[in-house]
Amino acid sequence: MPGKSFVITSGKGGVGKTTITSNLGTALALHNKKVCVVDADIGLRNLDVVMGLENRVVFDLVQVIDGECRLKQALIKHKKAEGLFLLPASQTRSKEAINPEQMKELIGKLKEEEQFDYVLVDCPAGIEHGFKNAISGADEALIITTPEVSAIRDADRIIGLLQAAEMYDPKLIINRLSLEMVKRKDMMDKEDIIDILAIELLGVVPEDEQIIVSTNVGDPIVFNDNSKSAAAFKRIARRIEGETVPIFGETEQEGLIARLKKLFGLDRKEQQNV
Amino acid sequence: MLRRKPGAVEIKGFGNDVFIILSNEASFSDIESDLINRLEKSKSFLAGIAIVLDTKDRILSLEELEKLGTILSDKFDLKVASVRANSNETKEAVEQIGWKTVTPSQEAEKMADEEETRTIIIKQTIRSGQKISYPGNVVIIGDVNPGGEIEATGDVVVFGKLRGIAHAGINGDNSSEIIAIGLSPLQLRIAGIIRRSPDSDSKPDHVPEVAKIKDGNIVIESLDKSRRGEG
Repeated sequence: MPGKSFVITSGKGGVGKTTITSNLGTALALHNKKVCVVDADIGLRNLDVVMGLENRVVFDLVQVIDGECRLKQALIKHKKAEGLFLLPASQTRSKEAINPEQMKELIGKLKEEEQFDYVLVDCPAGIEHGFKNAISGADEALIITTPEVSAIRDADRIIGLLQAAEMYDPKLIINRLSLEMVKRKDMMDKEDIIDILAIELLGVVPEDEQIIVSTNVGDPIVFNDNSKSAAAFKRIARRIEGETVPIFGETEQEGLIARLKKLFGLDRKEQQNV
Repeated sequence: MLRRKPGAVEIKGFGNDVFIILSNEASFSDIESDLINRLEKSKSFLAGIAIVLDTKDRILSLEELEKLGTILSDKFDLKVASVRANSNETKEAVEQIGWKTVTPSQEAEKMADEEETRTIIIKQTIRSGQKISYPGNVVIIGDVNPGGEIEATGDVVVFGKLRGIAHAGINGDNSSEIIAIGLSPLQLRIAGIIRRSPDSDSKPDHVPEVAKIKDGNIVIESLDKSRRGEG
């Protein structure tokens, strides 16, 4: 069976595309799948930083497309996760350095010649050339939004643009949802968001301070067993694999456990600080 | 609600063109006053546009044509792109003024006849950045999200939540209406009148409502109340 390619996109910047690409890629690799994460944000490369692979970048995506190196040479193997590879973006070139046809060919090669089970493309913010590059070659789109009006508006725009590009069934990931704030009615709940966007919900990632720590040290949070967001990423990975797993916060029990875990984690942290 | 009384002058949009259509029967003075009247109502979005003057079978003298040209250019800042005329006398007068003449194609005529009852049904959610423009009525089976826009020369009906912008009667038809199952738009526009949403909005959005022009303002009523009022 040939592999599957996903583009991770949002329109708005700063909603967590890169974090989700790196963690979802890691979680899928932990399922013994061969996964390639592709940084399509040419000129603003940072997927390598978030994954802790910055010092291993020798060749990049633009050099592969220009034929300056072989595809295999540019792929960076992750130090911890077996089967996880990164294809970094170029930092010195611009998004116009490649075109959608070239990108499509490249993703095709990753799936067929390199036999990746999953190819995750981290899309740049915006709806211009970089976006068009990133979505070409993707079999499916994962839309990332946070529970904020502006992010939802941009996600809606992206869904429309994907339709125009004949990609019809994008899946939604809601990032940084705070159950506490939803309970206080200070934040939109997932139902409010789905009501507007009207697409299938693939998963909800809770607000988690530890993510900031993990991205800063370049170690995907999925490796941290105590993190509630890591659990969410693992569940999303299982859903991509075709399993039926409840959505975060959907069952009372799960919400309770997550909250207890958080309380416990917070307690420990406070003690350490003292 | 879809019927318009045919006046001396009709203003219609097809694609990128705006047509001013003169009736065959009305007197020239009626045409003058009706033209001013109708353009007054829609001048905000017509200004600067090149229009097509459709004289149908009417015979217009050089003097009459010049009068119309003056009204259009001086009063409303409208340019005559071309004139459609069936009568040879009118054509000659038009050429004397220096306007371009075109003979209406049968297809365009058919379109003009069908326009009032023409309706497009769109079965999809209109998302941010998407815009539907149609010369006729527009029915959306789905939501219109914030940032999405609907434009129609006739009515706009949304079988879903209208949260974006809807503009009915873009060519100045005051009898146009906007109807939605959930009417909580950012803006409503009917003909030349704009109404924005209240800054705080907390009404339930599943009561079917209709927006229409009453006494020069856009008013919103529940759909069944509005219909009872009419019957």
